[in-house]
Amino acid sequence: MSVSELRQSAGADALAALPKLGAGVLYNPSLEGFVSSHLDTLDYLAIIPDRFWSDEPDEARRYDELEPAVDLLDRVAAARIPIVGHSVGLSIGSAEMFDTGHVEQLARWQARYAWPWHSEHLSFVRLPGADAHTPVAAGLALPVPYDHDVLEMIAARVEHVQARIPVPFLLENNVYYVDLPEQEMTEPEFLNALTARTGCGILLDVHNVVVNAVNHGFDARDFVFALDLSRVVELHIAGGSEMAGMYTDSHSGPVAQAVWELLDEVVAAAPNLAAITFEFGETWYPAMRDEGVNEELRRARAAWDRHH
Amino acid sequence: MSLLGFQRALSDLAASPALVQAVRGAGAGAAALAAYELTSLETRRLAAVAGQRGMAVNCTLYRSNRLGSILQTFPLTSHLLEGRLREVADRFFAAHPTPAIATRRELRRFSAFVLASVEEGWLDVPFLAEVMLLEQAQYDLALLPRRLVEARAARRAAHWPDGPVTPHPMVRVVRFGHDPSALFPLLLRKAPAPYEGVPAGEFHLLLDLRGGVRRVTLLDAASGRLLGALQDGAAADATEALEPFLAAGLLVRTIPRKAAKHPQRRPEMAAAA
Repeated sequence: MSVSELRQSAGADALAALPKLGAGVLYNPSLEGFVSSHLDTLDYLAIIPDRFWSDEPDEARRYDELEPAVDLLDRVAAARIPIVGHSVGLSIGSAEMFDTGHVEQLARWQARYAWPWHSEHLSFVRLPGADAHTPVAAGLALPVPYDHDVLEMIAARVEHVQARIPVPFLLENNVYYVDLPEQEMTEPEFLNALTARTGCGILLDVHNVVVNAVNHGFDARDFVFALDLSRVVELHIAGGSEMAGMYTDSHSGPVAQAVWELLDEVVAAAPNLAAITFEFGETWYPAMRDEGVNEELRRARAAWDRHH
Repeated sequence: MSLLGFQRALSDLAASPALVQAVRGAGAGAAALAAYELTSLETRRLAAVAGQRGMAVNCTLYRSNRLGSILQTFPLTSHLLEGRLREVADRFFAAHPTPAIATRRELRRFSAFVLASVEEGWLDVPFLAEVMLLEQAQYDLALLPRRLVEARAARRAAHWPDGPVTPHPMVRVVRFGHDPSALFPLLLRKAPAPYEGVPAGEFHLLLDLRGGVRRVTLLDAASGRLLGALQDGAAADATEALEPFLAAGLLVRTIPRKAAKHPQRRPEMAAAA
């Protein structure tokens, strides 16, 4: 067996052994009351850890925690509700910059809240500034080119994360509005090669697939079934909206119908699936309220229950 | 270096519709992208994406990401700026072409920019500076690690029972040139400006987040001046006039200046020596 095959096999075992959590919501500040009043019914809570601290990379003291938000998280942990980390600040696709300090912070939080797994985006949001210690923000998440040299760069970083954080690491498929020509791989090929090489898992954002399929004219189902679905641990489901003639991943309230239509098939075909996470933008809470959030969770849980 | 050049160019395109236009207008885009270190493949890719309709979405997302946290954190300031928000955003982005990594730094940059713009005179919006100061102070207080800050303040007060006084770290005084009790009902219901009949004068609002409970109080002018001066300057020796504020916990004892310069010489240490 090659090193790659050994790693893939070990990775597959780790993914299969993960706790099956069910249906949950990605925390945003509008959900403070919802979470507090549903501590007895939440299957788990997904969080963006970067929203619980203020990160100023060029200052001696990074990661000032935002106390009220962390207090809530401590209450969730005390209620023995599993917490899953979904970070946005690692910027694993940035050229010539890999923030190992950020990995250490994620490791501290994984240990503190016992995340069963954690995830990041297959994109870049930061770039080196004057030097590698003073990154600058890109202003939005941008996809990496699906080329072999980029695969090599990201695989090495995934392996670093895996060495520092002792639970499975997932990468999320991108949403993109511009289509880079002449890429060496498709996104499923890239993700499959990355998971085969490193043993990492996939967070499959079904809405991202739907958005890209609408905007770039491919079949969402073909994309999903081109992936190695045995690597999929978590699904993201969301809604979107129109902007400048395109359909965007704006997390606008309830889950898009096209996502529901695809969800059942994905849940059935992903043997190591452990969670379905509903995500929405906090400005949509007044329109949805607790009842609206519960309705989306009820539908997600129904899809989960049909196959678990 | 090449991938970095490509990523810089791609993010710059999202930040600058003008660069997008330049790349579109330059045929293969090579001239407009000459400042970046790119392979010919990367140049072709960037030229292609500059011509795609999705680049307009990227540009819009870039702006809305930068503006979103401002609108959300400073809603009253944003309401006052309503008719000029686009112009202010354009000038702010031009002054700070790269967004800060930390939201709080980006927001402080924005409030400093607004206050400087008011000072310079080109941004002449009634009530803007005072409302901006209030929302910035509220945000600063909300971000403080309260338990840590309060514990530190309590330790200092215990170590230096006769030390000078300073405002409690979880309170802020914000000066107003107009009566907040007349202004805020209009602002909070997002009434359209101009706001006629809001009395001008000297007013001081006390923001108090001690114990994690938010209180906002309109101070009388003398108290406001007193606490405001302490907030702006160094700690003062306790006087009779300050005693009520000490008793209420709005002021706390802190390290004497000499000791602050030599923090190892605390009273118990000095006694031991």
